Amino acid sequence: MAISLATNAATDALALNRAPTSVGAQEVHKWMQDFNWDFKNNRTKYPTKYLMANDTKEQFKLIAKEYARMESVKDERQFGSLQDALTRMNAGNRVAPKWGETMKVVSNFLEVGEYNAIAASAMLWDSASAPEQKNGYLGQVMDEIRHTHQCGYVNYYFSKYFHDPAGHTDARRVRTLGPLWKGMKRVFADGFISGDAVECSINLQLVGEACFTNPLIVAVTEWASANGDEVTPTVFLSIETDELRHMANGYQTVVSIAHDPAAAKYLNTDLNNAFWTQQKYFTPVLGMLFEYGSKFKVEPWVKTWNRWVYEDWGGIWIGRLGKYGVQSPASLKDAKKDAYWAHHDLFLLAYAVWPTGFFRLALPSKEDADWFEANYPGWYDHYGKIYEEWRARGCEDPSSGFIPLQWFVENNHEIYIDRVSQVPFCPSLTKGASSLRIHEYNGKKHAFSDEWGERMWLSEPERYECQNVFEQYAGRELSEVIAELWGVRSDGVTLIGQPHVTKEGKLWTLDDIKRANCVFKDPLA
Amino acid sequence: MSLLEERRRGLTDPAMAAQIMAEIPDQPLDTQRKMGYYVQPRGKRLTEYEIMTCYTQPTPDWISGGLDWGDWTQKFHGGRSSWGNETTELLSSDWHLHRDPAARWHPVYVKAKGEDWRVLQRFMETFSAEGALRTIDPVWRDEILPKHLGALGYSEYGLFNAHSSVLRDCTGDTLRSTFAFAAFDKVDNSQMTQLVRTFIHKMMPGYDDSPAIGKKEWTEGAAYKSARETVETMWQETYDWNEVMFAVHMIYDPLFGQLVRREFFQRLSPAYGDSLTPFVIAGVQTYFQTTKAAMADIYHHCLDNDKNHGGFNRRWMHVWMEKWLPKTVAAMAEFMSVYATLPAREGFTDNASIAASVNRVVEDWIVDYANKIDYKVDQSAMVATIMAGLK
Amino acid sequence: MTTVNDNSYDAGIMSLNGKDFADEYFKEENQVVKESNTVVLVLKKSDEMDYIVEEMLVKIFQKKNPTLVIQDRGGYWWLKADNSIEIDCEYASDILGKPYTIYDLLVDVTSTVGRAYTFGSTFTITSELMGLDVKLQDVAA
Repeated sequence: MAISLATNAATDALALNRAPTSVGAQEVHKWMQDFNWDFKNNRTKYPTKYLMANDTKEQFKLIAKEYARMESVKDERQFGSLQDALTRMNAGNRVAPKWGETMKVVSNFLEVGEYNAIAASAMLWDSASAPEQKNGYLGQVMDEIRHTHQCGYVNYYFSKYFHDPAGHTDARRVRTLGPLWKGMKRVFADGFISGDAVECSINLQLVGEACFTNPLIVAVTEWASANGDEVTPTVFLSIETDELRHMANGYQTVVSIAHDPAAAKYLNTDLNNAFWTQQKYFTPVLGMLFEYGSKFKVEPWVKTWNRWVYEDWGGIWIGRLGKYGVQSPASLKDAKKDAYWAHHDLFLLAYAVWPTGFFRLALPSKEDADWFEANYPGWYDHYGKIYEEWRARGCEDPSSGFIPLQWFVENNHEIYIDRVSQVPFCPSLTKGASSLRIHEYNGKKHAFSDEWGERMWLSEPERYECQNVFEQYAGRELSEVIAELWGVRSDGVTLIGQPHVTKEGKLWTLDDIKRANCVFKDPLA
Repeated sequence: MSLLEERRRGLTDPAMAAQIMAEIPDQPLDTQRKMGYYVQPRGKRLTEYEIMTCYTQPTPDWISGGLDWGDWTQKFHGGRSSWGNETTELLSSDWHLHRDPAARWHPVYVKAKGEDWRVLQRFMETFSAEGALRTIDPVWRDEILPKHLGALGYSEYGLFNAHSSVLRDCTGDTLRSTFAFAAFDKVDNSQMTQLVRTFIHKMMPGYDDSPAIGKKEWTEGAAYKSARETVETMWQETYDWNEVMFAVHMIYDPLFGQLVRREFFQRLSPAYGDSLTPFVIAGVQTYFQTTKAAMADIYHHCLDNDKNHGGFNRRWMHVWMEKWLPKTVAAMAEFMSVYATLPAREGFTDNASIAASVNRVVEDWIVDYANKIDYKVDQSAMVATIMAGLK
Repeated sequence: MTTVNDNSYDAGIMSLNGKDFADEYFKEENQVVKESNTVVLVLKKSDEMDYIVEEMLVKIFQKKNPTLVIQDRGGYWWLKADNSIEIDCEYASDILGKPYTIYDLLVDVTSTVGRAYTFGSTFTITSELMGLDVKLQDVAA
């Protein structure tokens, strides 16, 4: 076939440049918006009530190969540090015991969030129509796989080197035992993947990542480093280097719907629901892990929260979007109250059910108690006295047969689990924003701790009917359930969870628990 | 750093470190130090890939292999599950059984692709300095590459998008990473088809590197009508995640994809003096082979051999063959028309050479895919149907 | 060397403790978000990043934007400034004496509060609403 006239003319006009050259990522990326084509059924499998614009752009302009190169440079640094310098320094063991226990939860629970975020980002990639936006979400899919593996690696590393590997080695199997697990799934798993795609994006990216990953993944490294742990900063600071692209994805989700009239109708409700959903779990759990799970304190959790959540996320993300109709979340006042008190409320319950944990907990020391009282005036009279009583009754010693859960029963302090957030609360002891409400639905009673979750329930109860741990195991004796859900160490009898981290203290076994004769009871039955 | 204050750290501050060390027991509290010791290894011992990946999927026990109990804590509007058995027709005794033969977890995957990128950039520097563009036939360069490498880019981009719902819905962790890596390779492939033309544009300013010509060919050209419609159907009209992956990776890509990439571009480029395109396509073919092995593990090793549901699954895979194979064969037959637009080259563009190409693709597919699940195909009839598209 | 101003890590209410902090924190006026035109940047400590912080941000950028505060938080540098912070990777590459692209920089950019983006070799974090008030640009090939 002869060369066409058009081609011939074009060829004649072209001069060959022989200077060595290659192609950069951004030069390919600039064409990406043209990779799509229209066709009859080009619509998402995960509908949203919002209309996402076709021309939404991506802020970091990555292509697949440059992404891979960049990430492998991150990995070289991270694994290089861990496998070389930190191993030679035995850094995996030279960690304050309480903190090494904290990382069993932090790393594994974050892993679940990261894993679910793979599916969540994939759903957003499906629902977005702009190729650049799809590309941003795709990058996030890959990042979330990275983070899942990185979180796993922290547990893997501590399994090899930390002086108490139990819980690090088997968190993925034993984690379902404790009452913190289902709440974590609500906020970190199902909340990201099940619902209107944009609602999920607001949960995952605009709130979960832009707001709470800063305390969770950044601030945590400062606590880690104070407590001798250089493993976590090495990994988590590297995780967070991907999060900034995810925050941009969340922001671009808002950009893509900013001019849709539906945004004016729904965005503030969805944002408030997402903010409350995320804060309801993160606020108490992170505060508890930092302050009660560390030897050396960095700053009061409420200050960390005030800086990262209220001032910076609130002011720089939400405040700046005010002119596009985004409002301060209506639940903020309750959230602030929680940021001050809810983690203290939660630790009381978490310690009371320590046998269901896959980590060791410790009562606040005298030094801790002084720090709590100085930073949270009123702490001692409300919480400190209770811990003193428990300690005096021998709660750390297996021979006492005393598990603090019994104290709640003796004193008629009923423990409920909020149906929507799955977070446990004790209405008669709480200082955070929780108070008891009960509704009947489908012939069953449901407890709620706040008006925000209650509203979500009342409008869509079918989304939140999940049974809780008290209902699932009602009538079953505690040691039986622990054994069934793999809550023991390699000797088959000693619990993974323990109520102290002292060198001298004895470790509790299934028999010790059996003697206490604790039986799961559903307070609503 | 000298200019800024430094904070004290527990590992390096002597006083803090001493307090920490005083609390650490002399002996570890447990002897089991193998993370994931309860995971069934594929080989003799657990690999890091298995340790990092297995059981990250937090499904309850009513989805096979799950370790959690109970219900989902939040569902879709109306009450649909977060993940569920109803998202696929196939059944598994354990959705965590799959293992990627290449044992890829994230760092392994990005390291390989990052290396490919570095090699490709060095190659481009050399190719441009050599003036190697001079040997490319102008028709190939100015008409075939913009139209057909461009169109291939759209096919790959559509296949990439077919993975989004799969990554949302699939019910296993090792499955999810395999599917994600396959998806990422697909978008990478589409970007690489763009890179070839942008690179030519940089060496030869004035050369049009916009994707518009390829897009027109893909959306309006007769050579791609069936291919495009098949890709669109996989992408947006198929909801069963196993069906999507089976259609993409067990039927369309090893047939249509291999025909266009390996037999058209890879085989013909040298005939037109093009050493650039084969270099890029070689990378694409590496990804194809890795993905092929991983998909064979999923659909042949795990699902077709499932101890409880193998026969049932095979029947479904046959149903999907019946549905997707004719569409793919039609796409291949239509693509045959492209050969007529090529400047003739003995041994490359004559009918016998083209028939040999088609035969290689079909035969490979029968041996590696159809035979594995005992699906009967008449090779010569299939080749004849495809060759009938030759103008 | 750290400039102490409203952008400091412990500025404003954060300088208060105990009851004083609580009183301010629970004040009615502090129960809604307040718009801020600041940006926050978290840079992971590393060989290159420490040098960039010292040679580019402290010595040069802080003079251009005196509101910039840089503080050590253990594993990372915490930065806050009014309006924007920029890092030019071509200059970074020069002073580091090796190729250092925008994507090499991103290896150690840990977190952002504000709108961050890349354009050519420049990394920017800004309080501007990119994509809404200001268009995002592509490079010319």
